Formats: sequence, C-alpha cells, structure tokens
Amino acid sequence: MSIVSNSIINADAEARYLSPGELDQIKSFVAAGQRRVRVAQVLSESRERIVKSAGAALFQRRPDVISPGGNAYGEEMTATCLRDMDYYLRLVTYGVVAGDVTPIEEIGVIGAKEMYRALGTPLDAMAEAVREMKNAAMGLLTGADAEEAGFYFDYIVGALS
Amino acid sequence: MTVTASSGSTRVAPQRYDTLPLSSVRQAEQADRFPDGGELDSLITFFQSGQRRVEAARRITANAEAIVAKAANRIFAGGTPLSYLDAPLTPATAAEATPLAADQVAFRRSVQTFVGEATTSEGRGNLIRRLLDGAGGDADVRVILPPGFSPIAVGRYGTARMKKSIRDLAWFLRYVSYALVAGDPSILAVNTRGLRDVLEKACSLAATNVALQEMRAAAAGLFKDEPETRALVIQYFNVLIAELAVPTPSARQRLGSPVNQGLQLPATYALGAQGKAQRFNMRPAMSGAQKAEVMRAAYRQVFERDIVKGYSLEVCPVEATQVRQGQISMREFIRALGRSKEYQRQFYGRFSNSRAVELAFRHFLGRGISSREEFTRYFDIVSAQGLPGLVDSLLNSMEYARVFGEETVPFLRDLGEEAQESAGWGSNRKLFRFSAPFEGAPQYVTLYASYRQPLADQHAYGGGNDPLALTYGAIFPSSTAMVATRPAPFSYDSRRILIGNGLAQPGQMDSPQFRQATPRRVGPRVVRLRQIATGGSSVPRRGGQPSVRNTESSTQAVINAVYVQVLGTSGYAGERNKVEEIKLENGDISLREFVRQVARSKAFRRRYWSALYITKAIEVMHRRLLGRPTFGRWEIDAYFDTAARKGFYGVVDRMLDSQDYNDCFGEDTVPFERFITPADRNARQVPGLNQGFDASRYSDPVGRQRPEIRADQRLRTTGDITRRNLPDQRTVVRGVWSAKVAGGETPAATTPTRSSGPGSIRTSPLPSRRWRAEDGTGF
Repeated sequence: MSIVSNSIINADAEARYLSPGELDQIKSFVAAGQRRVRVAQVLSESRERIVKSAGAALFQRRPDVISPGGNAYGEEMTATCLRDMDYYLRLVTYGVVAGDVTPIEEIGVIGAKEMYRALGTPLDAMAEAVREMKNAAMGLLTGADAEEAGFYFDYIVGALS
Repeated sequence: MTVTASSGSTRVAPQRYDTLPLSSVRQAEQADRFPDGGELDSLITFFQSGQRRVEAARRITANAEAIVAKAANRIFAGGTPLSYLDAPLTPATAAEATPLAADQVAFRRSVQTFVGEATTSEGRGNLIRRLLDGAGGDADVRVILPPGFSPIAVGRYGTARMKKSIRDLAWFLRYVSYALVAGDPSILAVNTRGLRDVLEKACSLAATNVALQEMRAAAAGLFKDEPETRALVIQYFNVLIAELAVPTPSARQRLGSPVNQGLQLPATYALGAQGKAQRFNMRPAMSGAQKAEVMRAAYRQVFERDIVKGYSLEVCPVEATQVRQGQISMREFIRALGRSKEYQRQFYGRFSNSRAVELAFRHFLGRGISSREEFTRYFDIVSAQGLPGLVDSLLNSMEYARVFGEETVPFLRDLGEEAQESAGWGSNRKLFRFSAPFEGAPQYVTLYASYRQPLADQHAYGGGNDPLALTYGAIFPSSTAMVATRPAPFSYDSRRILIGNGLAQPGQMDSPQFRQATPRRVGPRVVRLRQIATGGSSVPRRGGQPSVRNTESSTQAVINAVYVQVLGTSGYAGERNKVEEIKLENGDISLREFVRQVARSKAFRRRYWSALYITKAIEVMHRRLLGRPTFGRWEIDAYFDTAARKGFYGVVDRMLDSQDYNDCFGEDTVPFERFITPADRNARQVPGLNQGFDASRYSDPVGRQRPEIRADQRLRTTGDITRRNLPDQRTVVRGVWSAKVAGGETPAATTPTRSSGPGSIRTSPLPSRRWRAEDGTGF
C-alpha cells in the first residue's frame, strides 16, 4: 500500500473525490519521486558493497555468531546470513519506491520473528546486521536521501527487535 | 450439526486495483530481485507526470459538477437533472469555512444547475458552434451518438431513478480522477466491467455511452492548453467507455478436484488479480535469460526461496538442462525436484507426515488441503509410499493438469487468484506465509480434530462446570476442566439434549407429537381432574365417574399434586391458597387457572424467583410449570425479554399460556415432569456398588504348573499310517440320483449298482505305487 492507494481507498470508502489535503500529500510524494528512485538505484547498485562491509562490521562486533556453535558458523551458514542481509536491503528498496512500509511488512516482517526463532538465529544479531547496513548505506547517500532510506532501515530494525 | 471449530480468522484486505508504484514493487518481489531498469524507468515517468496528474485530478474535482451537468443535460430532457443530486460534488474548500444555511445552499445549487444547463444549451443549440467543434482539433472527443439513443424524459423516468443515474455519473467521474492519480487504469476496469448488463437492465446503455462521451469532452475542455494532460484524461475516459462495451464476464469457477466444486470468484475480483501474479511458462522459443528466469521460478515455488542463489547449489542439474532443451516438460522437472534429495531433506525428513502432506500441497498444487477426506487420502499415500508416492500422486492428479498443465510452473493460488475456502481459512493463510516451513506442527489435522467434537457442551451459558445442574446459567469457569476435551461451543441455536422421562415415543422435539407424548407406566404419574360440566355455577355432581388410567377423581388429591409439582412440597401451613382451592372444587375455575394462582403465589415467588438470578429462575420455573428444561439459549433469551418487560407475573403467564402448556397439559392436567437432562438422570441414579475385579474370587490363587504332555516315545513307521484311497476298497455309486418331474410322474428308480475297480467314471487313475495290504510294513 502506498500513499496513493491508501488515499484512494479512503476516498472511495466515503464515495467522495480526493480531498485537497490528500492531493497535496500525493503531490509531495510525487515530487520526491525522483529522489526515491535515485535512492533505490544507489542501494541496489552498491548492494554488494553494503552487504559486505556491513557483514564485516557485524562479525567484528558479534564474533560469537561466526565462531563454532554460532548461528552463522561455517561457510554455508555465513553465506546464508549474508543472503538474508541482502534480502532486507532489497525490502528497503521496495519501501523506498512505494513510499510506505506496507510492502516491507507484508513481504518480510510478518512471521519473520517466528522464523528466526525456529532457526535459532539470534534476533538481536539480525537487527544489528540491519543497523550495520544502514550505517554502510548512510555513507553512500546524502542529506534527504539518507533520511528517506534510513527510515525504512529503522522500521526493519524495530520490527526485528 | 454445524461445525463451529475454527482455524482462526486472519484478516485479509485484498487490494483490487493497482497503483504504479505498487505494481512495480510487486513485480520485483515476485522474482526475488531488486527493482530493475525497466521498472525504475516507468516509475520515473510516473513521478515526472505526477505533478500533472495531481493537478488534473484537482481540476476535475473542482469542476465535477459542471462536467456531470453537461452529460446529464445531454441525456435527460424536460427538467433540471442536477437538482436530483443528493450531495454537492465539489468538496468544501477552506474558503467556505462558514457553513451556509440550508436555504442558501439550495439557492446556490439551483443557480449552479442553471449555469450548467446554460453552457450545454449553448453548446447544443448553436449550430455554427457545433460545426466549428466538429471541424476543429477536438476530433478525438467528438460525441458520436450510438444507435438507439434518445434522450430520457425526466418526468417519466421517476425521481428515485433520476437520483441514482446522476449519482452514477458522478461516480464514473470520480473513478477517472482516482485513476489519474494512481497512474494505472486498473481501478476503472475493476469497477466498471460487468456493469454493462446492469445498465442495460436499469436504464439505457446508449445513454450512458453518450453521457461518458460528453463528460470526456467536457473534461478535455478543461485542459485545452496542456496537450499531455488532455491526452491522459481522454485515455482514461476511453478505458471507461471500452470497458462498458465489454459484456459481463461470467464468474470464474475454482478449478480443482470435483469434490470442491462451486467455489466461485466474481469476475471483477479475478480481473483485479490479473497480472498480479506472474505466470512462468517454459517455451522452446525463449531466450536463455528468459528460460533461466522460468527455472528460478520453479525452484522458488518448490523450495520456497531462491535456493540456487542462496545455497549456491543446483538441485537436479541434469533435469534442469533437459527442461531447458525441451527434452522433458516442466511438470516432469517439478516432479524431479519433488523427488530430489534436497526436497526430502528440507520438507520431508524434518517433519511429521501430516505436515509434509500440507507443505507438499502448497508446493505442488499451490493451495491448502480442503477437506479431511483429502487429507486422509494423501496421508495414506505418504504413509504407504513415502515422499516419491506423494509427489507422484499430486503431480499426476487431474487438478494439477487442469490448473497448471504441462509447461506452467505451479504458483500459489492465493486470494484474488481463486476463490478461497472459508473452512481452512486460518490454516491456509498460515500455509501461504513465507514462514510456513519453519512451523513444525501440522495445522490442518489439528483443525479437523476439532471438527470431530460430536456434541456441544450442554451448558447453555457456562463452561460446562455444572456437575449438579444447580448453577444453570451462571458462568463459572472450571479450574479442573481437562484441556484435552474441547467441546464445541454452545451457540445461540444449539439445542440441549433432553431425555424423555418415561415418555412413549416423543418424536421430534417441539413437534405436536412431542408435546402430546404421554408417559408410560414407568414415567411420572399423570393426575387429571375430571370436571363435569354443570351448565351453571351449581354444585357439580362428582364421584362414580369411571376414571381414565392415572386419573384422579378426588379433587383434594389433585390439589395436592398441583402443590407438589409447582411448589415442590405440598405446602406449609398458610402457603396454600384456600380461596382458589374452593373455587376449583366448585368448578368455578379450571385446573390451569388454579395452577396459575399457585404459581403467582408468594410461596412460589419466594422460592423460585426472588432468591435466584434471572436465568436460573427462568430455568427452574420452566421445569416446574412446563415440565421440561429449556431447549437452549434462544428459549431462555425469549423469557429473559419477558422478564425484563413484564416481570415475574409476565413470565408465569407466558409459560402457562404457551402452546407447550396447552398441548401437554391443557385445562385439566397437573403438570408433570416430561423431560430431564442427562445430568439429571445421572444425579438421580442410585449409585451402585461397583466392586473391582478380583480374580482370586473365581479361581484358586495358588499357582499350579501346567500338565506337560509327554512326547510319544514309540517308534512309528510308515506302516502305522492309516491306509486310505486305495482303489480296491472304493465304492463307486452309480445312478443314485432321481429326478422329480413337475407333472407328478416319477421315473422308475434305478437300482443303485455297485461297481468297483477302474470301470467307474469317478475312479481316479491307478496309483503308481501300490501298498500291499497283507504286508503291513511296506518296504
């Protein structure tokens, strides 16, 4: 659900035209559109760099996860961990493009906690990983762009912890 | 009985139309990738045109009334159509902060209407202007009159229909403004397809068409200086007009097993889902990249995630090459994936068989299990044949062939895609989540276990914690209730089980038969008063009447029985109503009236009303006066209503005037206990002495050894074998049969002849070895 569809649904439920307030909201969403697309592009182009540096930072801060007995121990498991980080980065780009957290929520948040608990993945480490990705991404973006993307990273961190 | 178990009701709001940002995100999500170049480009175009779109929507909204007026004035004749508009179309702006009085609003609207009409009449009336229009650049919005169009007379059309028509015109315009903002015409298609038939029936399709063309022209007129926006607006109106020309599509049936027929998806709903879920078909003409995309989709469907990328391992590489080259079909490839070691490891080995069946349904049929029968069938298969058998039976099923065919990669048949079953709603939703394979417990079989609770809890309000049937109607949750027993909830229309108290053939509950059932000998004693019509108020003649069985002819005995039944005792001193007793004896009142007076007495009220809470009071009074417990909640609720409105006397009167009382007891019978609950029956039984089984009472407790049978020690040889089947000693009987002829003539009985030796036809061939009888010892 984006701002656009949300306001259409509201207006349709009341059988009225879009109100000036809603139109203004959509207008500002559209006006920021170029920026959104740019942010999404930057994130998806440099995703390997972001994931790699964030992974390195994570394993430095949480050496327990890659040591024997840790959840990301072993080459295969480490790769899985990095894949999941890539996955959440992708969700951030969806959120940035749609301008709403609903895609993130529907695709990757509902049931995620249960899943990680079942897998024995420490949730705080996962949240930590997303936070590291945010830090890495913030280095690539500037000003309003960083703010835009940071919101969605924060949303995922909040949902995971 | 109805199934009241539920698998939970996760709320889902299907989105029935698209906006451009969402559809691009969805496309990327379904392929598990970042939004790529094409999508971002279309997004950029959307955002670039966004300012224009919003501006267009704003302008249309502001001029909505004028646009609708233009269309309405064209198709309606002989009136001011816009005066039928219920609410003003243009939203109140900040400038109009002070609300106008009703008459001012009315005045304003009447003026607006005339303004609208004035513009149209100008456009319609002025021939030169119309010619100019036709010759000018407005060719794309020229109104073409369809055959069969004639203006509708307002007077004859009727107020109600006028209101609806004007509302609908505004409605079309509103959706155009939504579509403009959404950047996607799907909202128009979803909302108007299928309207054609409705419009044909309710009013005129041709008129609607003209109205839409008029609105298109009017809306385009607002954007004369902005050709791009104008084209956009016209495009959406054209979608609207095209959609109305399409006949109503028929509802889509859910494909699947013949057991589950009848699930229909409304066509507009299916339309809304169109293009949402991508379909992946393997075609030989595809390029390598396209084929790789299809292969990834297949892995995603079966393994629920991009397994090739995530684990950098490719399952079934040989089959993958073959399907790329077209040597095997996609169905065979899916089968190979299902039988692969990797699938076995991820979705079979870790789970119980019940859960494995559920997951396999998701992967290979794209849906959840729909019934217990289906579950049992596949559970049998997986138990007997293991995973390969399960995969084969799912892939060979008719349903797979009908839904996916040979070359389509299976997909989740989720909400919007197909009609969903409500029975397994919660379980289905959970199965479609991406966290499904991390949930080990089977979902469906536990649900079906809840279905199988045969009886509702017999307690109409509480949780069944009423062993003595004393606290009827009070809710006392039991702290000792067993968790494993989960009775079906007692719903509003559930009915309690009642046991006939020695009644003969009560028949169906609450039927006339049921009410007129009389007790057998084992049942309660029925006391009936024989009143003799005296034709006046003189003293009745009494006595000497032959009594019906169980009929009491002594009035005092009848009166006593009434007290016992209604009050529970024969009444303490001062509780008995002497005046009414005399009236009954004199024949001035009927027995029913006497019962009523006793029930209205202070003694009854004190016992069964004042001291009790209402629900219990109703229950107990019902048992006293009508001789049975209430059927269930609906019956209690009805009395509850009476109690609230009319109080105690109202409840008594209602019970005594009821059909039930009339049919069962009538005017002359003392109420008796007709029905009881199973709990009552248990409570009334004299507990018997149940001694445990004691084996020592039946046998000697001292252990004894079994007698041992000694083996025969004698030497036995072949000679000890009893000889038989020796041809010499066989007797062959011939011709012993006799026929009986139906006519009575009996053929002469043939004398049985004995023959021996190999002459007989029934003699078996000679044994190759012959035992000599006199020898005895053989070789």
